[in-house]
Amino acid sequence: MAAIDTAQRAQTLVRPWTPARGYALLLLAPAAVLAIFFIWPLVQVVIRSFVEPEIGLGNYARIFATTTYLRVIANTMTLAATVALVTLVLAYPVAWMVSGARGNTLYFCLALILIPFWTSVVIRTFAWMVLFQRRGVLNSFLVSSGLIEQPLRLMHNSVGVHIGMVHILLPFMILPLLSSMRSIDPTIMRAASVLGANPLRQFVHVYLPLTMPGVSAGVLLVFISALGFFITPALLGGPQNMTIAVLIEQQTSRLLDWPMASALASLLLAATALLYLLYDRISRHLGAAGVLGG
Amino acid sequence: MKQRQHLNRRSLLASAAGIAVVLPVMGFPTVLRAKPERMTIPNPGGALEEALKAAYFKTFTEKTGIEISGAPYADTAKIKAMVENNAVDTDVIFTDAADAAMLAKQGLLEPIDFSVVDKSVLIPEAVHEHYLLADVAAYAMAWNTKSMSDDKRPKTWAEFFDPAAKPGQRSLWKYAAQTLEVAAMGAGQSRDKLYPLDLDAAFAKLDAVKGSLTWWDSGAQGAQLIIDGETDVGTVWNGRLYKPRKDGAPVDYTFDHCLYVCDSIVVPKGARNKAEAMTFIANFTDPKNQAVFCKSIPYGPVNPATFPLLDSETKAALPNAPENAKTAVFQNFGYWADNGAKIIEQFNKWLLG
Repeated sequence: MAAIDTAQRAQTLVRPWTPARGYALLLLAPAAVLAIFFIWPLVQVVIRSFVEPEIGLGNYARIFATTTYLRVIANTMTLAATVALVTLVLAYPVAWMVSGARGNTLYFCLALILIPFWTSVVIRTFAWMVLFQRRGVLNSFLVSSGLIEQPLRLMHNSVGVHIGMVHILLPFMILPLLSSMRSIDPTIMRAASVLGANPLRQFVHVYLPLTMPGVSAGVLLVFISALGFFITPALLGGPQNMTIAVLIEQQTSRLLDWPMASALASLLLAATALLYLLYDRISRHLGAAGVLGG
Repeated sequence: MKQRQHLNRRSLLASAAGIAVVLPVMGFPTVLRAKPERMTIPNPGGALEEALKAAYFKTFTEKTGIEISGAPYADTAKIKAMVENNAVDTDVIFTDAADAAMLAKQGLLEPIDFSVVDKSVLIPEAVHEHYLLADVAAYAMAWNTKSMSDDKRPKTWAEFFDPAAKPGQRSLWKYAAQTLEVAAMGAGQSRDKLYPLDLDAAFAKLDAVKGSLTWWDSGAQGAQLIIDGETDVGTVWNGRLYKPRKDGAPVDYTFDHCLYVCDSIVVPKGARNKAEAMTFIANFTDPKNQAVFCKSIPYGPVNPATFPLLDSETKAALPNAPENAKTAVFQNFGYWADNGAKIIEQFNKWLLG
């Protein structure tokens, strides 16, 4: 009985739910909203980058003529990738612990995750500044307790940006992981153990593959959110932590060079799409090869 | 029987679409009125909006009966979008003067009507074809009085950019404009020949302090760095430290060698109530009103006839009061509108190292 049940569950996991034809029409309204208020303006941005101030690749030629823009785009991508990876490593055990909790413990854990999630990014960034300053809470404690002599430089550099961004984006990783972990039928793990798999093998061949949808969703969410980060790198980072969002803002509202801003934004969009396709390919490839999937 | 129609999905959608089309159209006739009952003036907000209200909004309403309400800051991007899409819903805007110069260059502003606005009463630096300076603030040197006594602090920009002579952690605004001006002065460029900026010399000065430099991104952050002692000496906008100093925070600042940076008053191209906008600006130039402004916020007037109306304590807080103005210099906003793109690119490159 349990085996059949599991098989059915596995089946439903593989084939996502699709609405009946009539209901699909209901999607027209949100699709229209998206098309009018998101896709069309986005298309306009891309078009603007090619036709203003004159038709051609002038804006892109300017971007590629100096290394600054490309370096900043590369910086932004590296920052987003590192943050996504660190967040995954930190979030996975947390999500695993919480997924096993029941009742009040579960609600308590969820509150701990969600309250910071609902707090403004600016406030949380300022909180880190209070902690990390040269004469901030952490440095004062370390210096007065004699552990260090000179205050540590914890902000206005890469350390500060990474800590701040990881903290802000953790819930985006924990929540998808948690949802995929909680949907795993515990009998599957029991079955693996009955069939003789040791805990490591159970994890690598059963548990991890079953949480991969959550891992994918979390990594993508965090990576893409991190690409657009503006406030945290500006306040906690040093000059070398300049992100592409900062440059786009400069072009948009300080220099009023919208064609250039559009070109930068289009380039970021293209790079992100390319990375997404690559990511999709790799995860499918791994899935097909049976390394991670079943 | 034929007329009986079911309320089906299609007719519901059709009527919803109908309402969506009709609603904005119904709004149009209100804008065709001859004289507005109310004008909306976007401005930087906060303490500045309070000062604008007391000095200029209230007095204009008393004269003309037109109500004025403040609105959130309209940045250049918003003004450009408004003008280009023919959706100008404001008549007067208070905005940053460097932004105004950029908007003027792109042809997004109405020229000021100098037959209504008497430019002869204003300081010459305040008068431009498409914008007027609205106040005078300072990008000035400030220091933490706990970590820097008066004899240890840098007195000039040359000393500020010489950490060997005057050791201490520095802070500057992470932006090319204003910061490169003080760096150029640090390199010895005199204030009366500041433009065009000697960029190579200015960047060399930034190199000199790179090791002991903290950048700030917002005015509040720049002030906080000095108040907390996170940095020992740095640049601030004077309005940000006026109250903390008065309330006893361990900070001080000087108007010596400061750079005047300003707000401006502009009329966006295609404004519907141009005549009233010009009347508003004429009312703004009245020294009595400017005196009210200077009493509520430490930014100087652009009509020099204002100074005799002020007590000495108020004047001491104003960057361009005669006794504070001896070594200061106005920022050249047009220079940045013309050269900003190239210089900012160079600045970003320098930041990346």
